Amino acid sequence: MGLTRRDFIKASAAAAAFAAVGVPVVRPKDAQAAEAGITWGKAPCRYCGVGCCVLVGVKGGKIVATKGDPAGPVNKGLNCIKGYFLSKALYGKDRLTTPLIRKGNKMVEASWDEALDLIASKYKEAIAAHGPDSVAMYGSGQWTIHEGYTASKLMKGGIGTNNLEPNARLCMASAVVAFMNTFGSDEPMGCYDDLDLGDTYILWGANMAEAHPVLFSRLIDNKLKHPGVKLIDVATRKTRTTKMADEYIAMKPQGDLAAINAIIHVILRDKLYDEAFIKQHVSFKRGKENAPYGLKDKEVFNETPADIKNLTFDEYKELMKQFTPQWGEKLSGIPAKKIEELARIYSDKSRKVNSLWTMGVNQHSRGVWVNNLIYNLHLLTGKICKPGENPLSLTGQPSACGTAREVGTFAHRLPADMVVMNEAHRKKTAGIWGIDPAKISAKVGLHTMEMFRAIDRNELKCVWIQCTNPFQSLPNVSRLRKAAEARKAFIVVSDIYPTKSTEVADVILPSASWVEKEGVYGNTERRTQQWFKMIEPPGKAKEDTWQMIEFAKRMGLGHLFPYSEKGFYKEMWEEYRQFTIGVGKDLAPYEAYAKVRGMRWPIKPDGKETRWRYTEADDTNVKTGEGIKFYKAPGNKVNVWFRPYEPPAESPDKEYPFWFCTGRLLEHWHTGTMTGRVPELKRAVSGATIEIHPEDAKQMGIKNRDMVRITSRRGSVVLPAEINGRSTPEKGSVFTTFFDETKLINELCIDAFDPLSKEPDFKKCAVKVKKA
Amino acid sequence: MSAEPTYTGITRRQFLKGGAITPIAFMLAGSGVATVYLRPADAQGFTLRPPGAIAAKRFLSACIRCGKCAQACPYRSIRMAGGEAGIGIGTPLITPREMPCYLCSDLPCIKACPSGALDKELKEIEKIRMGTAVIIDRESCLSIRGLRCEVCYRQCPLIDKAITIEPRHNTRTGEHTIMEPVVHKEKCVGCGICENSCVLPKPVIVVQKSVETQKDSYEF
Amino acid sequence: MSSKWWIIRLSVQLTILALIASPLLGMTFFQGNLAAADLFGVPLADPRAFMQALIGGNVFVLSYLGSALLVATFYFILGGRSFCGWICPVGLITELGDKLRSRLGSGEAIMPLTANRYTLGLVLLVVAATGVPLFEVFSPIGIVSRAITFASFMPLLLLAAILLVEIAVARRVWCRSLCPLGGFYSILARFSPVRIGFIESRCTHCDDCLCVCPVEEVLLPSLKQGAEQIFSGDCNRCLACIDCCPAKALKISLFYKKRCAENIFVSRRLLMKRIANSMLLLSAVVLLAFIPPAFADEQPELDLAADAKKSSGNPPAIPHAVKPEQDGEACNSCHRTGVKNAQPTTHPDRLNCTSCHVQGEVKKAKKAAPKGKIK
Repeated sequence: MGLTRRDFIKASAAAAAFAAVGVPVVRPKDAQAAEAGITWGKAPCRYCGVGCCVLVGVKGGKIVATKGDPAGPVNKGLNCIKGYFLSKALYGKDRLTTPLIRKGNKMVEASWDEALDLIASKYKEAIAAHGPDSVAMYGSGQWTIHEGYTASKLMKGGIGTNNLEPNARLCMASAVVAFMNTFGSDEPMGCYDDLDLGDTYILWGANMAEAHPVLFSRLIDNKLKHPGVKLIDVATRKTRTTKMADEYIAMKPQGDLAAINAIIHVILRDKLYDEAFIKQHVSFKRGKENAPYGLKDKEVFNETPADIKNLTFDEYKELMKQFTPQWGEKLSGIPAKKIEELARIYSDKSRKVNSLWTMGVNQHSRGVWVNNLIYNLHLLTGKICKPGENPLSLTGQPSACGTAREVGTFAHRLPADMVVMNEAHRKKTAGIWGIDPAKISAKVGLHTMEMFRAIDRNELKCVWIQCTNPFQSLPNVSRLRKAAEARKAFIVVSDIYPTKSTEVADVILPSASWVEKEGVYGNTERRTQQWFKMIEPPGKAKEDTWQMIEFAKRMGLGHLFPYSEKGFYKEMWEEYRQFTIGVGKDLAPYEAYAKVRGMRWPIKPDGKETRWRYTEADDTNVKTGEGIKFYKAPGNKVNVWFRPYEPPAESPDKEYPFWFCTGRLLEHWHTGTMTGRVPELKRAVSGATIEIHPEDAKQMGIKNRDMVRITSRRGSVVLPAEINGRSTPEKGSVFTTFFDETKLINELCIDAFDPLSKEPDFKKCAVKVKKA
Repeated sequence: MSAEPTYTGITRRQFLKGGAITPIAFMLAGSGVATVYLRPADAQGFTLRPPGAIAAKRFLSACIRCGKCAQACPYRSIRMAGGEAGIGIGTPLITPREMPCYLCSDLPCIKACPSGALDKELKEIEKIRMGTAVIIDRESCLSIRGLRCEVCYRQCPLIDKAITIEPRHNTRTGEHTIMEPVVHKEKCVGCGICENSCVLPKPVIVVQKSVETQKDSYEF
Repeated sequence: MSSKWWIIRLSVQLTILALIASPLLGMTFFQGNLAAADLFGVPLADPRAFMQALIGGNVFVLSYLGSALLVATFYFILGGRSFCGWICPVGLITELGDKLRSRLGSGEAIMPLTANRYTLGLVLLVVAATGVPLFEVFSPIGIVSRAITFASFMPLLLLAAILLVEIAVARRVWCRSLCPLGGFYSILARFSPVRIGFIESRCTHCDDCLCVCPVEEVLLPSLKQGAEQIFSGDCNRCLACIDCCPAKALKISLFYKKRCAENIFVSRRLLMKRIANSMLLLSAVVLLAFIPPAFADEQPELDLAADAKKSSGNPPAIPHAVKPEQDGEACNSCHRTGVKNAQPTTHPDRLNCTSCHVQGEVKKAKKAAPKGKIK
């Protein structure tokens, strides 16, 4: 394949010229003058899971401009405000440029050799004394696929522990488990095209207007073009999404379990389901109930095949009889009439119905269950795997899908839907990796919450954190911070800026970010996007793969990475690609990605992408005449799960009378380590506020911008109140964002998690609110 | 003792001639010159005054420059003009780009003003008219270009009242929405938070002089 | 020769400065400056500033009148220009400047005291005519206070200029003769009950008092003609004369001794005339207060279209229907050259017309009132 980087840059320069005509801002003469000498390259946006394509303008080894890529199918040249200032995230004044080693309370500059030798010696020491399960690595859904793959191979194939987790555990794990136990294969059947083609969109607690800005503008455009399109926002607070929706349905926290069950009840009661579809594709199951909340250390909860009961359709119908709309109203706060209406909306044969959700459903102490229930709605009504008619779980990180899920950097996963518990899977993996299958441990590693709790319990000796900021983002973070500050484990942090996590690190390694390295990301809609390295990282900063491989060499595991320096990315990609071929997750050869603005897997034999999975219309794994075929599910039958209502881990009471919910806003991303370095975004939104319902505020005598103290059983923060601002939570609840580096908001959050997905519930805990 | 009035040694005629006529002449000439040259009470352009400030020219004389409003402002949004303000020296002003008015619900600045230069009748923040936000450079406005910015809208304390979003189809991409922020002059209080938060180096939304609203036309 | 009163007076002057600076230290019992302030919750206001706000701004706030009257009463009782001698920070500064001047022996020229009546008249006339509060613009008192509270130091140059003139050319010319505020208080407190008394029998005519008095003209009638009290409203009540008198011929004397005034100072006729003049001036000021300043509320006739053009730079709305798919080239087919009465575009290279020019609501445009007639 002859496409070199230079060719690509030439091609994208043409695209840039096109952009100059298309985007109204560019005043041609100035633009030409300004653009002289700039080379343009393509890359996916560094922030959220939408996966916008951007053009990166480089001049003199520095990024001088970024703009939306007009050829990008997701965003067609648009960006959100974060993406507009994307390059500035790399140029903060306090970039880490040299390795630092802790000497007492001071971080001292060191050489790479010193730092890596130290890490290797600590890891060796721990492994020798306590076995390989005493070390761990904590990565990210912002890792590139190569980084995730390197980490997986290093930890699972090299060191022989499954203590490898991505921060995607905090955002996508519930969706992953539900995809697996419903469809037998991770990631959605639909894609963003559904946003242009559908008629009805039901948002389950997703503030798309702010969390998925460019996608939302696409969804609204469908509404503008087709006045019949309806957007229904089911949520616990009124947001900017609500403002543009046709209908807002207020719901109590945890009410989704009850509401959806009641909707299903109505669908079954009134025979609104698609009998033929059910007969052909669906089997009914009942799982383990009365699950715990993960509040105790070392709590084990597994849904083993022995725990799962098969049901007939009639048995299922009988079980669902208890969930009347009146019952649903009581628990969800959604009027019974509305529930009946929603059942009609879901089963309307004349309309294409879509469900969209994000963290409201996933960060949920019964997140897998809610995911299951949403799939139930679509499976019972047969509204799935058709263009414009799908459930779609939106991701929050640029490569939560590509790296965390496809590569399988979770503690139980191997690449391409495989798991460590399965011997055949281990064998296949070992075969591709060229190692002894016995080297891969069959024991599921520590999941994120347990991993950091294990530090507190003195069970984990070394953790290497890359590309994420757990000591700000984890729930009940003060316990974990105390453990780290007590130096209970040797903590290495690779990052690009000082963060709340580098504060507690023993070794800080400066990393290369985004276009300072080559990489591949995979977004929500299975789109795999590649980019080339365009600029050098600052100072001594090195990319994460280099750091891991150098470490591997010192651990005597260098043989795992036999790639040549020149063909490094391609060779590793081709190795990884072997996992995906023939299992319905096929990826394309590396060069193919260099030419396009991403492709959605499975890649067909003719090299084209697949927009809708499991349907003969688009998926070549389904033969003509088969219609829809869930070929990844056992017996080609997907599961409709019986999932009852269970209360949240913590509910408001007399002492702590308010619901507390955290989330995102448009201007900042995650823990603000990147967007916080962009002065323009800092100017737009300088810090977190606490959103309070106006009536609650009035009762407590709180005025807009008054300082308010919010206290939970775990911690306390002071924030300015925001009343009647961009969002208004329902009465009795408060909301804040977690991006603010100066406030450890997640101290307040309860560390309860979903027993199946181990994903913590950041959306529900009890707090009290007082004027400070 | 005599009732001699000319204790200062000046006769009445002298007094009138040198002591009164000359100064009066000077006084009148001075006022005349000042009247001509000091007219442009707001020729300096628009100055964003604290909430409740009365009409610009009357404000200049009604304001006694005591600085109590600035001392009462919890955000230090109000500062006192220096020599650069010409005849407005010592009057309170707000520079939104540095610190906008955050519209305290109890309006401490108005309470502090002794002279009535800030209208004491004003009790509700919705009725403040410091100015009106205007998108002055539509070509540069990121939202109007189709990007998802709308920072001014989301930061607006009267969100959905003073600034609303008018979505329209983006003909260039064919599948996205242009979410255009539109300022409603009849609702905008002119606090300057939008100008403060605009992410562009030169803000495209700025507070300008309030213009009376024509009810039936929006300046799209 | 004692300095009892000087020490007391200096400490009052310094206290005033400390009060003005106190908010900087986070204290809240004093807010504002000499134009208006809150002292322990009591609102105080400069009565001259009140008059000016009334004349120029046509604003009337009852509480403001109250606080202005409170201050006016206070100074009326203390009498004369006690504000200048005891309160004004500029007074303190020029006093110190004067010490330097006398040491240098420069700037002996003096200007008649009464000039400040005319500067007062000037500022009132200007504010009435133009709405520009001339005194506030140049007031070194405001400049000093703001320099303290708001750290706005550049305008202090004016104070420096005043000091320079006072030291080099004319002795305390600003405070003695030009400051309109001084003029205001000398009129206001002309008939104050607290004044300097003179015991002629003790006087040795050593003229020490004349040397220390900043406004020595006020002492002359008594010294020359033996009047019982100092009558002029220009007396600062600085009490330096009492401090310095070796014979204790000067003292504080209460209540206005009318008889003496008649005899010595002015004839009844002149007095009546002066009172009549003052009444005339006062009524003129009151009258002016009700006439809006000539330019104050001048509102140009509203031309929204022109205004929109000027104020916002917004591109004009498209006055005709535009199909969504029509863009760029379609618009240029008429607007490039201006066929069919279309307005030729100044920027044919920009093709995304509807991104800036939005289609006005065609129906509404027809309904809109004709130009120039709004309401």
